[in-house]
Amino acid sequence: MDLAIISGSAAVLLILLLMMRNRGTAVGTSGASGAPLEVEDLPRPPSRAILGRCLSLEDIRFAATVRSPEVLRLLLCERRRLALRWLRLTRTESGRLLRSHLRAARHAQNLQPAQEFRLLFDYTSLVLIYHFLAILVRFYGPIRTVGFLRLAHSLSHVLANLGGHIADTVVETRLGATSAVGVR
Amino acid sequence: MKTDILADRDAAIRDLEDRTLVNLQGHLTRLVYISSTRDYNTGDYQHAGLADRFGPETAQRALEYCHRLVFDELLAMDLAELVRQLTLYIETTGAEREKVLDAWRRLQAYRLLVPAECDDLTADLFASNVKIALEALRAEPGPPQ
Repeated sequence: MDLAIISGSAAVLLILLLMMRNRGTAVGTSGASGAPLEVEDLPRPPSRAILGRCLSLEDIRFAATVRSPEVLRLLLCERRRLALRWLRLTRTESGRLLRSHLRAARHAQNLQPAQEFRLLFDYTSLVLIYHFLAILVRFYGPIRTVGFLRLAHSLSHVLANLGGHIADTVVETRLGATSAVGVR
Repeated sequence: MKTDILADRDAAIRDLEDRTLVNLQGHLTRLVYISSTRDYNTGDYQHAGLADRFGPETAQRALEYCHRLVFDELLAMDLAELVRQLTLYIETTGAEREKVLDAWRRLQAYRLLVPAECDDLTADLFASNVKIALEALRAEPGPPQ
């Protein structure tokens, strides 16, 4: 139990340190000025349907019926490559969103600590699930049982939801700040 | 104003479907046809008949819409269905099966079938699916000539 708390705290601290280190870098900014991105320019995590397709059991079943084992090998190799690309993109885009949000938050006057904490918690969970899922996907091929695919699907669902939630919160906060400026 | 634009586009889509697409067998054949109306230098679609009847801008919008629609339908298909679509397309070309398979594998012409506004990952998934479908077809002996 203690070990879990220590590991969790260490992970949160590590992520915070990484985020601090990345502050002010050009990634996710609209220019060298480091200004936050406009709402319509904010990145969105990729569709979960793509990962669902990458881990499709029907396609594996079909490839297994083809006479050449090369086809199944090619399918597994391609789908693994695409799944890892989806995972990386989801993490990168969510990271860009969070960094853009942090830049905007520096100048915000109506910060809501609970919402900020939730955002940080979501991002931390996303990074942890990303690493776990990335390891899981690397084993996709040698292991492709229904249970394995179900677990990967469930985790990808959680990951996509977290990515979507981060995006929604950032957009909501940005729109709230814009309307507050408009009222003033 | 926006309603008029959409109504015109929908009329052009219906016209394209009723006059042209209905005569093409299979989604892949339709996708190849719509992509072939696109100028690869400018990315604009060129369809003289449709442009005459509805104007160049409406024709452009209708072709863009149909392109995306057919592409999405193909993308959603499982591998077995994609292989069937590929078989159907090869049959409609009238060319030798092995020759078409070989050319598609070498030239990767299917990469040109992706709509312009499609994101990289989706385009990659499409190309990957076609690549696997081509290998599956190559592994299976064709019907007797």
